Amino acid sequence: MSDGLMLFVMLSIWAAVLQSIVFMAGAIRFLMKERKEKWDASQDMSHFPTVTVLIPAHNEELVIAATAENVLNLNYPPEKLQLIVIADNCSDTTANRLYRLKKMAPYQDRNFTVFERKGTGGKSGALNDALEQATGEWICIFDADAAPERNTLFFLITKALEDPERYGAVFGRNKARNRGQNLLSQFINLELVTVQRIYHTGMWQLFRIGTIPGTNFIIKSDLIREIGGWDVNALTEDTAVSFEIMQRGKLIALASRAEAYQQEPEDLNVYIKQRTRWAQGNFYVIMTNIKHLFNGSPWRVQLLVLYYAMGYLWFMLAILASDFILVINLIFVVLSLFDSSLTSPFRFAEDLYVYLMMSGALMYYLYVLQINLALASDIGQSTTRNFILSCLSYFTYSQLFIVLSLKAVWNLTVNKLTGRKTKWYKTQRFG
Amino acid sequence: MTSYIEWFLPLCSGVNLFLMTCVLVLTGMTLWFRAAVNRSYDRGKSHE
Repeated sequence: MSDGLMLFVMLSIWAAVLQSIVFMAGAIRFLMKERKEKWDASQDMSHFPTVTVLIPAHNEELVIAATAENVLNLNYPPEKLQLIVIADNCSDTTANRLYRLKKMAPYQDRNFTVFERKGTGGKSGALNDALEQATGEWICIFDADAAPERNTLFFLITKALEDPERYGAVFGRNKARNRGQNLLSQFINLELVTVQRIYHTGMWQLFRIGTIPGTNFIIKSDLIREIGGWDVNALTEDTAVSFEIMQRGKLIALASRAEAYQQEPEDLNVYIKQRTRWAQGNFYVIMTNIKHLFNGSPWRVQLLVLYYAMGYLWFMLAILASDFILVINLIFVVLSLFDSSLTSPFRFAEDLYVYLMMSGALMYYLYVLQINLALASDIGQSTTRNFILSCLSYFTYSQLFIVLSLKAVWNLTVNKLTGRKTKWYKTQRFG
Repeated sequence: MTSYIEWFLPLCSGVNLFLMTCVLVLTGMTLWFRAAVNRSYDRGKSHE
């Protein structure tokens, strides 16, 4: 039993390290290529397609006017840009602030709609209703707290035009605008930079696989209508749409220069609620898509399912098992001080424990290395403070993943047993 | 208990050696990349 558990932990660590090595190698290749690319955002955009930007907003009076203004000032032909802001079941001044913006001189003649909606379905429901009013060839989504860079839409569309037949969607890169606010937002920033600069780039470079995030992406209007819009039952509607796109043989391309800033949680409770929803959403996605591993779906879909399953099922179980072994061994070390005849059930033969420790150390080193490669690719982030945080993150911030995953599993189980509906939790903004 | 040890220990040794080599190569590439970025952007130099 103990040998079996130890073997499982060892093989899991090897798989996790190998996965990280593969993604990191792809990321380095991507980042080197990216450095050499030249771009000109002042080029003629007369051949660019029409775009409808949708911004779902539920009680977003703190941030919504600035976001809408950012979008209206994007470097994109104004006559090709339609903006629809969905004031979804708002009980604050979100809509009023938008009407005030719409009346301002620079924006009076713009194709800008404030859509006051009273309906169900959360963000997905709001997007589906707004889709009926959208006239653009492409749909672009920004969250209510997004602050896109001036050329973000230009980069997204430029990428889409590289292969308009194959690319069903294009996604950009999100950065934390409040990354220096407190320790939590600094850790979140490290995670965000690493996911976007290592995992997104590596996956795109090696396999041409991408998944759309909840914000800062474009999708073909025809395609999202063919899919049937956003799934109102999915907690992570973006991941659900990603699978639908890939099932149709289309690619979700990465435009890494399309940057948008977003607010990250500054409070641990807000963070836990947001991430538990994400974890629940990802478990839902795994459960609903695991069938693709066995039904001859496109290989990219299978690889993506495998990636999610490894992260949320296999590696999570391995972490729990290794923590369990560690705790039991520590308990027996203490007990043996009082009774030397007591021995832990997890005693490893010969040098196995040494190899287990070596593999663990390798995983930790690679974790820190990944973060620091990601930081090096983001100007101004490769600092001593961030290096120290990256070293601490593994033992502190990353351990929250176990808590969140267990909480998500518990919530899903209770929901299943009691028939309770999962509540969509909107992330709280900070003024 | 020791039945699988005969083949598993050499496997551990081989796999760890392979993974360590890969990680060393990645470390070198990371440092090279970081130095290249610093050369491009630091000391007030404008990027292309």
